[in-house]
Amino acid sequence: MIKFFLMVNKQGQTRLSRYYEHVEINKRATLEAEVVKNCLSRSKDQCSFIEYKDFKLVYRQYAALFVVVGINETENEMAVYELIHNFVEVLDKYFSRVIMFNLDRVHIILDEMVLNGCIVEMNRNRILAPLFVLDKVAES
Amino acid sequence: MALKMVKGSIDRMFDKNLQDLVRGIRNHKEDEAKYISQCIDEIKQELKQDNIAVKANAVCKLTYLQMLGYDISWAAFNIIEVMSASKFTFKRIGYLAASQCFHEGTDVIMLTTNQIRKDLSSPNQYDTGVALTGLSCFVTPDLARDLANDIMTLMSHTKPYIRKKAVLIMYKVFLKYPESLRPAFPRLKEKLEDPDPGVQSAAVNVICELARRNPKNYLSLAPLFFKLMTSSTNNWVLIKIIKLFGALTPLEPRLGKKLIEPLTNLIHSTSAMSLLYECVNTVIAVLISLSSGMPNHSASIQLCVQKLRILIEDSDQNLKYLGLLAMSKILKTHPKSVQSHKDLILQCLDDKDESIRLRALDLLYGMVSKKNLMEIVKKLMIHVDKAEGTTYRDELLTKIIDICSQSNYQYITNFEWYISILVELTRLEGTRHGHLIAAQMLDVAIRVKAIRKFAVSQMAMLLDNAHLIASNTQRNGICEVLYAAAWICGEFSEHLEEANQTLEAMLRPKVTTLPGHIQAVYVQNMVKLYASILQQKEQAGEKEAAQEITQLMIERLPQFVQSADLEVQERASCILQLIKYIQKLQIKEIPVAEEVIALFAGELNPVAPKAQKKVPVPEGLDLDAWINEPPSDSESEDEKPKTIFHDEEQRHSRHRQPEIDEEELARRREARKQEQANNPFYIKSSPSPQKRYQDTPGVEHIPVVQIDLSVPLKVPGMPMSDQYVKLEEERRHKQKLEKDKKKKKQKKEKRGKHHRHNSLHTESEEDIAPAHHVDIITEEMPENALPSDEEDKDPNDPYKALDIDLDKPLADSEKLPVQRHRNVETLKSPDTEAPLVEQKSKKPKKKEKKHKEKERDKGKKKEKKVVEEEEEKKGEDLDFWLSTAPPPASTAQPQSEPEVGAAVVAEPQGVKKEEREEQEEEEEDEGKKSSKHKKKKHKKEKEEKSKDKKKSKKKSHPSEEETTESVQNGTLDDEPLPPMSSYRLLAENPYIKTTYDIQGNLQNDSQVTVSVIFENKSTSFLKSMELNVLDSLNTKMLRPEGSSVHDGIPVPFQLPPGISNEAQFVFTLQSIVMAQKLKGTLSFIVKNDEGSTHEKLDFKLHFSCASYLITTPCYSDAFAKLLESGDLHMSSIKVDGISISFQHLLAKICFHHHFSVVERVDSCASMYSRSIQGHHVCLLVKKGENSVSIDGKCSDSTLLSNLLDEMKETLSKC
Repeated sequence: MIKFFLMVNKQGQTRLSRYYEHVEINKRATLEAEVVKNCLSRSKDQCSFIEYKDFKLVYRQYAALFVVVGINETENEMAVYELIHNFVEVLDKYFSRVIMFNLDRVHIILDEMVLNGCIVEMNRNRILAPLFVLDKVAES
Repeated sequence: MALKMVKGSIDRMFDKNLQDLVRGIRNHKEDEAKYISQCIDEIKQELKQDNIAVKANAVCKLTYLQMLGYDISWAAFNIIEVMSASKFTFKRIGYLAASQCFHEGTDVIMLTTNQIRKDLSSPNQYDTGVALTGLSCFVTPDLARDLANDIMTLMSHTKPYIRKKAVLIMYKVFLKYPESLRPAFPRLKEKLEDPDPGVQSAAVNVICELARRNPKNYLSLAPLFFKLMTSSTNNWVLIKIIKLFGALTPLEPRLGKKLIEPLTNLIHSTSAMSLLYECVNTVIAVLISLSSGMPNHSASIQLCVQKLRILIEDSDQNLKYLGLLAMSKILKTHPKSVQSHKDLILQCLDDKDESIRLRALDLLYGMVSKKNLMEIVKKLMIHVDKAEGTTYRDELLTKIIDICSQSNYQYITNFEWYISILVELTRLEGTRHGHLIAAQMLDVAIRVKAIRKFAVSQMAMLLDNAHLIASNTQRNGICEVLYAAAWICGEFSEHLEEANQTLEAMLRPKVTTLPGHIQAVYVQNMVKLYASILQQKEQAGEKEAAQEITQLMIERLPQFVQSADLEVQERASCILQLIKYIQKLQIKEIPVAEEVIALFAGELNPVAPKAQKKVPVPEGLDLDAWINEPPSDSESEDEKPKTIFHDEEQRHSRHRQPEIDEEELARRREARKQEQANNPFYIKSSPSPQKRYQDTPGVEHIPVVQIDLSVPLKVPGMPMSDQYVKLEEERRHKQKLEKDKKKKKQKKEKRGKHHRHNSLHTESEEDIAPAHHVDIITEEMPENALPSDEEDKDPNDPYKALDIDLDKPLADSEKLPVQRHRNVETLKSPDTEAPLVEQKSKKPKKKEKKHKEKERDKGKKKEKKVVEEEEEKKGEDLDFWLSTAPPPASTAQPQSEPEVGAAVVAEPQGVKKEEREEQEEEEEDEGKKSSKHKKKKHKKEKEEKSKDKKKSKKKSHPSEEETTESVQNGTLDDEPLPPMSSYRLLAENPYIKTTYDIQGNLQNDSQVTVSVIFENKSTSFLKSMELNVLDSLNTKMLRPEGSSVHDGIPVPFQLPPGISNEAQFVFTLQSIVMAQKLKGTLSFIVKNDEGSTHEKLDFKLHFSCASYLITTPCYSDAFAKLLESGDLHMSSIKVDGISISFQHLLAKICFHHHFSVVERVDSCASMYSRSIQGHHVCLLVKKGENSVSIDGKCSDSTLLSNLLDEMKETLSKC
């Protein structure tokens, strides 16, 4: 199961966070800070999996942005690693530029892909379908 | 002007959307907090507006702020407002905010129930979708209970988009509301075969998660998953299924066998690393579960190890990491196959990546053997020196200790080497693990007697160099080793060569800077040391030296008396007084040494850490009972007397050091030792050494290498373990030569004996004899210790609640709560017998929970039997699936629902079944052409299996007897009852004999199940059996959907000669007041050497009225009410010429006519039963001299008279 899904930049600012198990708000901040610290401390020639407390972090770096996923021991690390890339590709396809201003839409994409801590959808068209519907509504 | 400005700013304020907020925060880098608090104020203003668009915008911004770490729980109510907006664009913002910040503790959440329900049933699929997504994040037990039924309905929604989400949310619902699992499970199972792959994958996900926690309940789904696995092409789904199998195989090794082939195929074929990794993992799990018994699994292991090696050698660090991770799993069961890759693993220790190094360390742990331990530890010691960063160094340190101490020091051949390794490790600065080293020193010194002399000398050296160890501050964790050093030197002081010097080292003023608990041990042990010196001197007659040493103690001890630590102070002042007393005696020239030494006499035995827990509670002792009456409630909570133990814990925690247990333990040991020494009745158990080493042939003849220790000992802090490595090599070499020599000699001398030494040709593990004769003392356990290992279980596991048997049929009481209007309920049951109805509806629950009233509820037992049978049926299906060879084809067939088709049911003769299975298997083998060896093994296992089955059948037999026995209802005459069978002859010809029994169906008021036993009487093979019945208007056979009324139902098995088996057929009925007969035919093909012929057997199926009755228990008060109600028709019969006892008579009525005894007084009994359609039948049975009269009352007069007629027939046979 996926415990949380984070996007953070190199400065340690959270750009997206989604928790699949409830974490208290003040603990979230410290958790995110530590996660970023862990990721930043690693060089490119280190593996993308970090054992952190009782779970594992799987991360990928895209330019200044880190996507970090916290998983428990039952999740397949490699699958999550691929999920991250897939997610970024979908974002890339949908958003031409900055995604920061469309946080809610990023959430919609994420919710289509991961629900309840399970990976549910990988098909790009199906992931984007609700968004396109929404866009149509917004236009009209 | 000012007004305009204000207005403008207000406008702008309302215009600020998320984008502006993000930009604004960026532009206010210096005063971000201030800017945000300003924004929050604005948002608060916006939330006060009536315009929903403005509110939604505000909530959207809040969501962003929440992500930045600002608490927005104060806006929970506004979020709910936005959630309930009718426009989807707003609604989703509300749900997003809710999913980010709501949780179980949010109190307004209960306000959302109806809104969510409305959204769930919205015609717009995205409304529903967004509600489901949100719900998955904040579902509470209340929401789960209230919405379970709605979500369950959505699982069958027409849109796959909704189905998919609903299925996934159910998992959260199960977690929060476990009662929903059983009712929802059939539908969830259905979704595994959903036409939409997304829904399928969702269902797989949920079941995987469920099964991972409680795998045994999901074993019956294995065939279905197997089918999915072999047919699916979606890697994401495959990963999940394969993972699920990994959880199931430990419970069912046969499943593993079936899996190996498709999994290895996948490993060969897939290009996806994630899938490959998962397959390897599951293959490993399978192999672990098989561990033995499969002849060709070494090939699979090799394949896995090979693939993993490729991963580890890959330049991609991720693959390397995963390869090592998976490798460690193989290591547990097949260490040999991994050990051959030692080079690769050691290489990984040099990796740049710490996580990879740590993984490699983990692997090394399992790879050591007697042969390579020193070499591996040497490498690790080098890494310890090189290591940067204390965490990794600490990790190395613990690993070294773990590796060496594992399984009771199994791999250590030279303990001197180990002690020197430990001593070397004390040079590590800043480690947190000083206490670990200390514990090891203590453990080794206590348990390995032969090493004590060496250990003591090393410890004395440590004490001498204490200033090096404890140089920097008290926080330095390594000073813990001084604790061990002091204790060992004191306890085993007889081995000390220069005790004086050590004593002086312990009395140095510097010692007072050590932590209190260490000083305390110092103080205690210097007395031991003192005592042994005293004895030495006295024996040697050096009185002055003895007095000198006393004087020294008296001079130095006061520094401890002044200690701030109470423990130290107390011990020191106590001891100071003691020594002053000794001095007085010494002056009087009285010899005191013997008495002083007696204080510390006696051997200490190590006690297992779990020993205390293992002491069984003596009979009659209730640990929970109050010793004194509990005090009144007025006392505050934390002063409850229950905290006797709590207090102790608190006392412990007052000491900061985590290694307090060690100290406590040592202190207790000392205390006990003193007690034992003074207790003449204490029988000192001679330690039972594991004579592992003595068994090695010829060990006595090996000369023990004398190691000259003097050189390294004098140089403190120098690594000397390396020398041992060298020495060890030499020694082994010598040993080998020695052995070879001996071997030759023996070969010459005795030819006959040479087989014993054959094993010595290879340099095996056992070949390496230890340098010393070593006894490893096992830890002591209390007498009659309980062998249980239950302490590992966590009682607070949230998943425990989901450990639910899913194969049991669903009871009414378990249905999910559905919202409905109240009056429906009152309208529903106009029954006059209210109490009875109530009682019935309660019943299923009782069955599960209460085991009281066992004697009364014969009916319940019967129900249980049905359940058991059904469970068995399931198991049988699985067995069937697991034992058939071609998997995909056969998976679907036996899975058909037992009610509709006819399922294989266990027949009473287990032995015959065994034969049948063997036969089946022979056929299978013919097709498979497998090797003979394999076949044999297969068979053996099967035999065992069927034996097990026999056992279980034997168990279920008594339950049948119990059913009849319970009729006695506590009467005193315990005559054995004659065996009874409810199976009646259906039809018979030279080929086949069929008997049948009819049982009412609990779940359905218009169905009965006919169980038919087919017995092959001929020497031919019977196959293609088909049963057909000519339906009447009232009674019809239930056929599978799509077949016409003239079609027969195939019997789902074939019958080899002499074999019998049972099948069930379901019939539907309208009226049950009359007995009925149906004509039918059984057609089958007889196959023997001469060819095959088509045969037919006609029969008449007799549905007696009794077969519509279900044994139902009834309590006498309810029974009385029923009789009083006056709605029942009455009729009676009388039968003469009854010779059997009344008890047997009742048993017969109970058994054949499905009644239960309500009350029995002398030779009069009241009985009750109920038809599947709810008719109550009450009987009053009276026995005269030779006759029996039965008065019956029933809600239907025709039914009653028919029943009584049947009863008359039964009784007249007696």
